[in-house]
Amino acid sequence: MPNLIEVSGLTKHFIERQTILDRLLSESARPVRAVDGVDFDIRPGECFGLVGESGCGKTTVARLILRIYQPTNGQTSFCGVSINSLSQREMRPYYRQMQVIFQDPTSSMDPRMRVIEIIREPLDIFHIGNVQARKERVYELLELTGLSTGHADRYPHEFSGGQQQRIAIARALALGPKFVVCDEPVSALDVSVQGQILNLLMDLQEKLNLSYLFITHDLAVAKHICDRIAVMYLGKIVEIGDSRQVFQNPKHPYTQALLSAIPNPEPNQNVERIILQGLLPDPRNPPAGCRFHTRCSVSEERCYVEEPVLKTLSNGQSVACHLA
Amino acid sequence: MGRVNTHTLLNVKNLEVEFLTDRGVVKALNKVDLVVRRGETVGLVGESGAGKSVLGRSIMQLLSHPGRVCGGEIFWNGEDLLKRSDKLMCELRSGSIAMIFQDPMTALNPLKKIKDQLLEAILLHQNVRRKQAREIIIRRLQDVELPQPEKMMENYPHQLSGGMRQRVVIALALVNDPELIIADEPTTSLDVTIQAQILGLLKSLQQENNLSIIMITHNMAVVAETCSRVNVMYAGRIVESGETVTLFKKPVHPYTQALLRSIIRLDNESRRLETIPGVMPDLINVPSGCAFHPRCSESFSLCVEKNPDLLGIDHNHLAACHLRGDYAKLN
Repeated sequence: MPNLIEVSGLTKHFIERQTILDRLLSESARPVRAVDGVDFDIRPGECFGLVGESGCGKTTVARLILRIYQPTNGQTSFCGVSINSLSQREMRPYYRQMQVIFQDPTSSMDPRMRVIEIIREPLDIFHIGNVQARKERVYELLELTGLSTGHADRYPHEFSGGQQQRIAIARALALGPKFVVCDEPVSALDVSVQGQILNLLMDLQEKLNLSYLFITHDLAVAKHICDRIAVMYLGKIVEIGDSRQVFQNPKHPYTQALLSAIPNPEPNQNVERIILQGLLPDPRNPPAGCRFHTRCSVSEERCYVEEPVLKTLSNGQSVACHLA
Repeated sequence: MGRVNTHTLLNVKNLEVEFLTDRGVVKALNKVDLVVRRGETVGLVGESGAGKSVLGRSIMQLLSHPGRVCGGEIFWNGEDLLKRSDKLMCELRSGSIAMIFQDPMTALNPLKKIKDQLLEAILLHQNVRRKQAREIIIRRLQDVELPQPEKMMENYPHQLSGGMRQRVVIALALVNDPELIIADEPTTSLDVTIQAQILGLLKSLQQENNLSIIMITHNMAVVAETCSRVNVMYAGRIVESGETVTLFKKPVHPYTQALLRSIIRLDNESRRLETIPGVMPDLINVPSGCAFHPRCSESFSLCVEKNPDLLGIDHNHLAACHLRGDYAKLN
């Protein structure tokens, strides 16, 4: 089966606005290299995870795929069609196919709209069906996401965080998309509710044959829901592979450090931790060679000068490290 | 976990807090007991709305209007804090008791340099000259492992990353050599790598200074890593309390059991995740009897009628459930 999404060499540099003072001092603007040459593909019906620390470019990748940002370089194709050069008008049919669920449901919904209006809005924008058909579709979506039709006339603030996230999911599914970006969909929720939303997302994926791009910084969540994952560091993918394999046998020192930083829910087990020293380098001025070398415990001479490329190992896992 | 001795630093007894709102009285804390000994870390866990933060804030007497303490006592080294005047309370706050908040961006003043914020706290509580205060600042910034403290303290909060800001907040809590730190979700807004750094830092600072910490969190794994004892809160009450190891190995209250089951573990094999059905009740309208009964799979007629007291199950292990311990024996 062909890939649903193919991303190659995707790059986004943000140029900061210069003040007059900067120009007078002739300091040339250094772009923020948010995403710096990323390649991956997402297969139909797959949940593809993107993990990494905040500021590594996860959300920017998602926004580039959704065409919220225009890439500086690189290609994105959706169902075999390159979508980068399409105009807004030409993009319209594709926007129907790709939707997004955000982290914070309270800020992603208009507090003055009723639930029915929130979920109906995509249908209104795309002029789908008549008034009655749209209403029925909203009721159908409410039931699909575990809410009831009685909720339709209420406002978002009347719901708990978990229920608000269900409303956001219902809205994302209104147009019957093939591909949904889930940007930290459970990070703002309590553990007891996280499970409910993840179960719902997995059920919907099966029922509607959805593909997800699942962005999270919680590795246990990523391992649970994702079929494959990519680990990002400073705008680059450092490791990519089957999520079970990556978790059982992480190859990149960064992945190893990330995994060992997860707190252990068993008391009195003193695990050896690889604590990353220092801070995430400035993405305006990334380190030469391997970007991780400033915080890596096993780096050697070569890592300071030569940038490692993503190479595929025999088990299908890919890793960008000289020592792997 | 530090040298825990038997000296009781903080003893909260029967604390009751309510918020008078337009919709009615919110019973945020209902007869809560909490003991913190010198040198130990005590956890407060539960879902949002359980009353964890309210308990932390009531100890500091930082409840905002319309919240008020309407019953109980808070003993600090034997003295009831609720009887202290506002002025004397001010001396205690960020002096002997300090607080670390969840969001370091809102806990710091965006218009003041790091240096000035730390200086303000020191000059308020200690009779030192500016030069000495500066030395304290540098020492504390070094303690929290901030690189180049002399340079760093000239920055404004927005110039630092989230993890660095949280370190500044911790330094701010430490400048007056507190005996107790109330850490309200100190790592919730941080990445796992930074979380590991900050938790490690708190642990080592605690050992060096023989600090007591109240760790407020919703993350059971953070509790397992840091706390020697833990209190599980639900709907404004403590429903189970005990040594961390016992509570994790042999949880007694159905709510604690459900919380532990719903942790998403790395070694989780089953596809379906365990959840707790329903949501935390609205505290204006707490269910009759045991507040957890509508979500409890084991509830029976008595649970609807009578709220169980917090009773001993075992040594240092208390639970409030009709099915357990002394209750089970009585029935």
